[in-house]
Amino acid sequence: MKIVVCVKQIPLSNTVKIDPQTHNMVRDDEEGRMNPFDRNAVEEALHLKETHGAEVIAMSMGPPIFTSTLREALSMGCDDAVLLSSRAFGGADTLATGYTLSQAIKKIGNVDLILFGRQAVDADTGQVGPIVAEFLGIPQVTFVSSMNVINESEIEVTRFYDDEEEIVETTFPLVATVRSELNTPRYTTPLGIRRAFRKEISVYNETDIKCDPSRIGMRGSPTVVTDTFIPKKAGRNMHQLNTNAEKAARELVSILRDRKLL
Amino acid sequence: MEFDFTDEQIMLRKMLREFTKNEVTPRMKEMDENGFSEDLFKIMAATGINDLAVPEKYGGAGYDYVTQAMAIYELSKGSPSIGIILDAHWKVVAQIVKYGSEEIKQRYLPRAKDELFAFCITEPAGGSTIESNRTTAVRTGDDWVLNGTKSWITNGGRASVYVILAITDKEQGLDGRTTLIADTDSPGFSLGKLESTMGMRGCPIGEAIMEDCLIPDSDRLGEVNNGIEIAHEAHDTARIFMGAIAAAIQKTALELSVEYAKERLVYGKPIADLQAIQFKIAEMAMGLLSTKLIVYQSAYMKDHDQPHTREAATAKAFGSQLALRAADHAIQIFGGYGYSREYPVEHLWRDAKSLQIAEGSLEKLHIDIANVALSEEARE
Amino acid sequence: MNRENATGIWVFAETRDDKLESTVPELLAVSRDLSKVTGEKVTAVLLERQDLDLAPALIEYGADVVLEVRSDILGDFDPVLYKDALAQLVEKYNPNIFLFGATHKGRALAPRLQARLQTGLTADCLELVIDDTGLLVQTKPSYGDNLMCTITCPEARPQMATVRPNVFHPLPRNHENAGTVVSEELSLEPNENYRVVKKTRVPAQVSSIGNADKIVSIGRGIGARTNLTQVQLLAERLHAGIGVTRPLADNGWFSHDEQIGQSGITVQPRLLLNLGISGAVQYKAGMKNSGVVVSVNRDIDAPIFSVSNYGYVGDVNEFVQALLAECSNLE
Repeated sequence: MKIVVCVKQIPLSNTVKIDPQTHNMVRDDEEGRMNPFDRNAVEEALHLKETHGAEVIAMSMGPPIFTSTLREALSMGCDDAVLLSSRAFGGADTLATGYTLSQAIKKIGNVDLILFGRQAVDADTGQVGPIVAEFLGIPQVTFVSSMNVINESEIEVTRFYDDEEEIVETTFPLVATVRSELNTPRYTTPLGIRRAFRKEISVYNETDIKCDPSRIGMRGSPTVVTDTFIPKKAGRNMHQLNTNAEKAARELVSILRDRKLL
Repeated sequence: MEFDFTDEQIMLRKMLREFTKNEVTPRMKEMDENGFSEDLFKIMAATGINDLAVPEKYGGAGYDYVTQAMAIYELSKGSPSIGIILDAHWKVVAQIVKYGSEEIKQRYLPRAKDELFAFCITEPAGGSTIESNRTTAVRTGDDWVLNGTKSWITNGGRASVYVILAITDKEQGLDGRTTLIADTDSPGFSLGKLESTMGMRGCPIGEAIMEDCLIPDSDRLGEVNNGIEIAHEAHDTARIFMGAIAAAIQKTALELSVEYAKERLVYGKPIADLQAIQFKIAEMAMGLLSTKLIVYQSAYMKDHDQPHTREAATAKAFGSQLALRAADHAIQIFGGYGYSREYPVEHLWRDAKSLQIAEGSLEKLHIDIANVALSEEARE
Repeated sequence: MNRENATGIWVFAETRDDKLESTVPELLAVSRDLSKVTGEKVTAVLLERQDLDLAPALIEYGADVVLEVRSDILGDFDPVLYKDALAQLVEKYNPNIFLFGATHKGRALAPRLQARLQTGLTADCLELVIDDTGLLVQTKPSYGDNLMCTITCPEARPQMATVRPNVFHPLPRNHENAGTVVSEELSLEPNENYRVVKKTRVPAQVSSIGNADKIVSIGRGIGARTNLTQVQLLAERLHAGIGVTRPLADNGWFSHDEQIGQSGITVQPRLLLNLGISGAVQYKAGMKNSGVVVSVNRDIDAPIFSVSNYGYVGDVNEFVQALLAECSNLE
């Protein structure tokens, strides 16, 4: 079984710089961390490695600094790591990103399972998984909370969202986006880190993977960020309650009763 | 001179920080109240932390002393007790790596993952002064017969492997000592009482009693009558690590104090604005910086096989004083809350105090350092 | 598909338990606002089993046209099958805009369709307007707080967006509305390699706060975990659901399904009580449509107060205790 896990490096902190011209996030020079849901994806891949002898390849698209998250994936136990990095890939929206990833997956070849975290907690779109599935022409299951491999061509998964649970039987090759309920990601280990730093991370640019230049990067992005701004204050005029807790509570209860909220 | 960590060390540090935050810090109070945490020890074993110091050939991660010191620093920020446990554990690992035969390495080093090691010098009558030791080891055929009691053993009571320093040739004084490796299964070996200590309460401190305890010669660590060198090696290693714990205590004290000083208002202004508080903060900051530097320099010298007794002793002697002072400052800054057991401040003082006593008292270290300074030619 | 000749505002009429999914009326309301500017018709696209007939409801909620495809193979949600159906319709009619609810179905289906049509999709929008050039401007909050992004899709069509539930208010159902129903026959093949075996409603330990009428929301200012007991008591007293800020979901005290905010749930309760919450932009984005907002924080400068109707500046736990006591006095 061959598994590709797509991971994204997201900013560590809340302060993000925006390029005033492209309106895209400035990502270089920033220590990052692996998107938390991607850790669940990596964990699941490693679990399948343990139970089914799967080969696990971690993949990411971004600037060279993204190797640190790939290194982390290797430290957790992935066999190999691939970074898709090039100026030409820059400024990609979800469509261009999905296209680039799917071309790289085609290049790797014979991939049975492609795992994503359900969404990246910076942009929160959750779109790239389904886009890759469409470009590869394979089934998708999103919001996966449990996975059960039946045999080398069939798998049963549970999808869970809000208060609804759905059990789906589908086939490989497959794209799955996973939720945090799926598993508890393992820590990297000191020995894992040692070994990870001895591995070479392959870096592919647009000539390494066969791709149509009009479909990658900003050229391949139908959407454009036109503006970023600080949202206006909601404009409520706050009435401050009494500074004494008991008096304030009494005041509030009275107000809420008047407004039929209590 | 390279002062930066490598990318690899940075990644390890990141992992240790996360581990500390998720697994160690939440258990700190419980360990302070109830002692050693089996639960945490198991998770540390599974996550490959216990054998971080063991060379790769024997199943560990094989990280050097600078990295080991960094690891102890990071984990001690969650609980200094964990630092002290690993300190005692890894100092034995270091001894075995340096002095053990290939056979001993193969037999013991893989055990470092799931079991705990301890090194035993101190005895009931005489503290850490090796001169006053009385435990003997007498050669009988292929075995050694040990008689005596070792006390104040860090990890004692929970460890399964005990390296004993015993008298093998009384005539030769300090040059007649040998280190032998005992196991809780060794015939004639038993564990005595556990100490109840002021601080570092998550770390078991116990006693080992040897009554005609039989240790095969194949479990002798190093050459006969070379025990003192091995004991000094252990001191050097442990003192570096204790310096790292001292730094961690200072870091925790500083961070907590800074956060509190900025929030706590007196007369409408944060106490961080007051000079009296600022001076304490400054002392804590300076102490932390200095301690870290000495710790990492000592570890670096050890990694490069340079003599480092003076540096390691300084790391512990100086670091422990700075740590106690930092803990003291933190309690003052927190005021009533600093005195309360509900807050994670007062334990720092109790934990820091142990660093001034264990592994060579402050007083003894001063003498050691003075001896080196007075006897050697200037190195630079 | 590109800009020329693309016309029509489409809404995917998602169904759930044989009824319209609750975001559909919200999407129709937004679409009506957009159509006031562009003058285009609002079309609801309905994929349903043979025995259902939800078209009339769609018209009552504001659709001018309902494009309906009825087939039993559409009974279960198969994203590939639905995508194929929608793609056929899009290629036939060339709509300008296509909106989906950001439900799990919407979030699985819309991007798949986006890729199939090679167009742009913005997820989880909080605002949709038409600009001077006639483009749909999609607004979504972006990680890194303090920032909202506006996005457009200048050339590719349709302009697609998934819309955050509970953000837009639906129009009241109007039986007087007039509209046309167009039945579409599509050739659809069931998928051999995808089968929904079982569907269950999971009795949520905490029922979804997205629909809660009253919410007590907890932030880091609550302090120790032991303080939560009191808060839970208070929530019960007030018959309120419990929501949390991100840190309290990240640290494992609560699940992400109870998290209010940009990457969590959007709420619009009639009463929202914020306890120990500073009011980061991501949080505010999730609660801005709440009715009466009461906030408690010990810092008078906490941003949460700027979006509150009532505020108590002081110790959170003290206030909770006092409020609990006061509520007990009532009973």
